[in-house]
Amino acid sequence: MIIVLSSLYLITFKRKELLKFSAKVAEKEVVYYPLRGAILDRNGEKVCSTEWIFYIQVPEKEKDKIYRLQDGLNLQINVNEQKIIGVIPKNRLTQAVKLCRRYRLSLRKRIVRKVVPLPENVRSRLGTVLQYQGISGIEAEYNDVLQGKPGRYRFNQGSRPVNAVDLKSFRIISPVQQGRNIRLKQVLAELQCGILPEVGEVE
Amino acid sequence: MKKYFNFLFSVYGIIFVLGFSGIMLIYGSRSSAEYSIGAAEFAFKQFCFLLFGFGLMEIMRRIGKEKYLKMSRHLFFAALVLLFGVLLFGVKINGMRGWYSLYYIYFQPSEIFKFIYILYISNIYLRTENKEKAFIHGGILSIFWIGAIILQPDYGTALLYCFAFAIISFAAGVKLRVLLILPVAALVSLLSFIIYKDYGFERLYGFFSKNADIFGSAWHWKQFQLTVAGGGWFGKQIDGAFWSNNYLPFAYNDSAYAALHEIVGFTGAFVILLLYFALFYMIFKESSKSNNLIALSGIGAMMSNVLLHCSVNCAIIPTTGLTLPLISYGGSSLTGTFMLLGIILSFCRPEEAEKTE
Repeated sequence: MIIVLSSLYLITFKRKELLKFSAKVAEKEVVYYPLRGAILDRNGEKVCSTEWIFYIQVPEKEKDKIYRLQDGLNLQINVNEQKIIGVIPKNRLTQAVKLCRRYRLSLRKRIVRKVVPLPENVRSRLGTVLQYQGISGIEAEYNDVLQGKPGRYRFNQGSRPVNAVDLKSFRIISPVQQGRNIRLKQVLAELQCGILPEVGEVE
Repeated sequence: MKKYFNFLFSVYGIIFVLGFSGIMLIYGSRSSAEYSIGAAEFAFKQFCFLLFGFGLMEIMRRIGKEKYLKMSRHLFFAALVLLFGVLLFGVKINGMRGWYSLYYIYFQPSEIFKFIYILYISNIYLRTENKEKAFIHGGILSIFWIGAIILQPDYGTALLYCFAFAIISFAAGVKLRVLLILPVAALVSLLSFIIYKDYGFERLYGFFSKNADIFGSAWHWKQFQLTVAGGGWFGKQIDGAFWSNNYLPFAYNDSAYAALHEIVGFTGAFVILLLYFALFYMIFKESSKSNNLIALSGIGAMMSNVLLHCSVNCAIIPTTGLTLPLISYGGSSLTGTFMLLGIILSFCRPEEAEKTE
């Protein structure tokens, strides 16, 4: 009788408070940054674009793991302080996922801004990006257009090391808005000769 | 005769439904998280344990009462040796040295030998006319038996044996003033548990204190509440038990009732409780016809196990770490429960049925 009454108490009077607490424990909010808009030349060639790169990172003492995968995945290996980073080519991604699971390595991803080879004066005119935000040059001038709008997602996540995600609880708080492109007035060849870019139009 | 077979048919039906609920629970509580063993494989293992246990129960039911009573003394002392042996040769799992390892099979003597304890202690009461003398004799043997389990250390199972001894003594007709020794002994054991074991104090502090750290000492207790509340009236789908999969510790054995609550809700969990009580009532009615001490004690011990497990899982009492008979995952727990049921059914069997079978 006490057991039944206690269950009833938990699912009626205490339920709201407990569900609020469980949301506090399990609910995770993730800010999802959009891909920044590209800068194109007059002909639509990409001068500057944003891409996802996928990589594996291990500490120095575990470098054997990454070298074991190097040939099979065609990894581009960078040694950075005490970490070894292997960048995965786009066409090897599926294979990399399987191998990472087998060797218990975690696959990471981050956004990078790629610029085609340009002389220094043109590069400085294009500007630089830090933490998804243009801080100088055209990148800063047109930051609102290029940056887009970050989205926010909320979902329940487990406490175990595997961190299972409850897909049913997945909900969008605000959607991601991708950044828009900007078209310059010069062509790529002119820019590569060091002719400073004039901003054209927003696509 | 016909009545006995109707009774047997009903008991088997309830066991089958409870066993099936256990398989569903195990599948549901391991479905969404990534474990080394998948949900289907785990559920299949439980199904095999169920089949094996069921067969064993049927064999044990067919053995005559006299044979059990004759063997009880030898069985008891052999089991006691194995209980002490596990402290030397056993395998440590979850901080407890309570399992023997035979190649790929692990078995926990304290779970499997429940029926031997009940059989022998009840037999002492049956043989001795002076119940107080039998109480002392049984009490001394129980100290050794329970002591071996405490040394593992498995306080949950030790507590269960204490309850079993109290139930056997009460059913045998020991005077209440003599039985009062047991709560005093329990209090002394509880105090020593709190003083000597840090986690013992933490568990009680987590349960009784409102200032206890919810992410520390009160974690397990809080998870029971969250899981039960999460299930609501009708529960979630079998693959939707997120809390049991990811937060509730040992959802498939020690926290089985709370996990069931999340999967089938209050309604389903209530039906499970009703099934247990129907099983206990039927066996109790059948065994009280012939005033059968062994069957009464056995079913009383099983009932205290279910009540303790459900009370812990509904956050009524502090965490003890007991499995839910017939539902929780585990070969030893299931086999022990089926063997106990086999003995109980054997002692419930009328003499005519014993002759014909």
